[in-house]
Amino acid sequence: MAALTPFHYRHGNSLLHDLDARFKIVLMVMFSLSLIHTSFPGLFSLTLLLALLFHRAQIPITSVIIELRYFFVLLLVVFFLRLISTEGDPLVRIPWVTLSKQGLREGTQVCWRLLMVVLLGFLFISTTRISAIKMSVQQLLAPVPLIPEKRMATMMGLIVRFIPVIFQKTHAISDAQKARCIERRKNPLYRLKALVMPLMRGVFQDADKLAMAMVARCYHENQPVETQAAQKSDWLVLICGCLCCLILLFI
Amino acid sequence: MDLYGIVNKNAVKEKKSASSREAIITIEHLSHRFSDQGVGLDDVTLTISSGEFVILAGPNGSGKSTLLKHLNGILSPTKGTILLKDRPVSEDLQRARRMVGMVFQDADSQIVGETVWEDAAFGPQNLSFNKSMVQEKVQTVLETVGLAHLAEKPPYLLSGGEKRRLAIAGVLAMDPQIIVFDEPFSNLDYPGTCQVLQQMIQLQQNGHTLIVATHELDRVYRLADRLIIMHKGRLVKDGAPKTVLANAAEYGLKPPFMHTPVPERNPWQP
Repeated sequence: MAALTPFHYRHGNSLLHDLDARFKIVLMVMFSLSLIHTSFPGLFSLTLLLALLFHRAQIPITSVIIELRYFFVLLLVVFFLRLISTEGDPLVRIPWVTLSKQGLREGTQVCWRLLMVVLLGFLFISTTRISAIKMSVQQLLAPVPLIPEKRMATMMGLIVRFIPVIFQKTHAISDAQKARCIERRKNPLYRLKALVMPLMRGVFQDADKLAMAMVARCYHENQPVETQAAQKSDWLVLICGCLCCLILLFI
Repeated sequence: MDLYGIVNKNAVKEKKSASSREAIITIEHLSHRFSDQGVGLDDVTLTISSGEFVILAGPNGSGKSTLLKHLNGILSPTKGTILLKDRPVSEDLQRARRMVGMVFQDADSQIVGETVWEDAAFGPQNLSFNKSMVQEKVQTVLETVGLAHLAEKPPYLLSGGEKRRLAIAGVLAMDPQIIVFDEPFSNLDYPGTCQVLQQMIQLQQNGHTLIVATHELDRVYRLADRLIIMHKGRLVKDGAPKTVLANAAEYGLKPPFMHTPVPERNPWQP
């Protein structure tokens, strides 16, 4: 079960695997920000780029789609809300609701952007070791005042470490509910609530146990910080990434 | 693999008599009340000698885990004291946590590393050991628990028995003198149980003091020097396993097969 969960680091030797995690974080943030103003040609180009990167990182896209199925439900809700709330040239008239061309366009664009942001994060997690994420967050946040960078780094590292465990728990709860015929309930909100409540309870209980286990193994925040040095290739990828972001904004 | 084949008392090195061992844990009048006023522990007094193998048995909610969490200062007592080699736990928590390694019931929630190696290194890194020392410790403990060949594997892909052994490696890397196990056999299949039992035998042979909290007596009682039964936060029986087992059922514990009053009868039947 755990092996089928894609939200974890996958060992590999692609360009993304070798890239400094700090540069990956910066690039992920830049691409996510540029997505705010990206239109259809840009979204299409980024989709192609991500497909290439997924292929190079040897991440099976089918398992990604399967694991993101609940996210697709959320996207569907966002799409529908955009569709009915955006005014414009009428496309279909139903009593009380008018679906417009602009709504269709807006809904598709927003959902596509959200999907791209999630896939960027997915790619980052799949190609970056937790220790590298922790180290990078710590180094990137060090100059920012009033932020406890070591604590933040530990928290982020643990969140990423526990994503596969949370997925396993979700599968287990979902299977147990299927065994009790949850699928006969047609209300998606009821089903979501039935899944989320025990899941959250379990996650919080596990977080408590984890904190206790860390204390028992003498965890403290004042460990010496390991440093990493950027290579020429990291800077080259960053420059290329910046250019790509600019292109996305202008096409 | 034969579960009882590995539990061979003759294989365990000859133990020193209890009277000649020094006290490693001394608990005096320990009481613990939870914030909802529930009683966790009620006036527990106990001495455990160095190198002893002690089973702490009792039904769910009897206070076993609460007692264990006091040994390394995860919980603080409402009343009473705990001494580790004559020094109170509260005086130096880091010393207590180095001295008492704790293997929790749920191995999944105590594994923090991305790989087996990183998880075993977590404790030594917290203790600020230098890199080469961390490397050496991790290599040694992974070889001890037989996981050296899985050093680069993500922990969540390990089997139940392997995860429990990794949890043991994680505490061994901190050089503890006492190792406490909280329900070490829960959710383990037969091979997993055998692996953990083998590990316990090895640890005792290496001179560690072992305290095992469990209600599954039949798996481990042959290894132990001493069996303590807890009931409603109190220590109600303490002695050699063969003597104490006769009263196990009175306190909601399933006696092992050979200790049931009518051997033909299924001991799981009420």
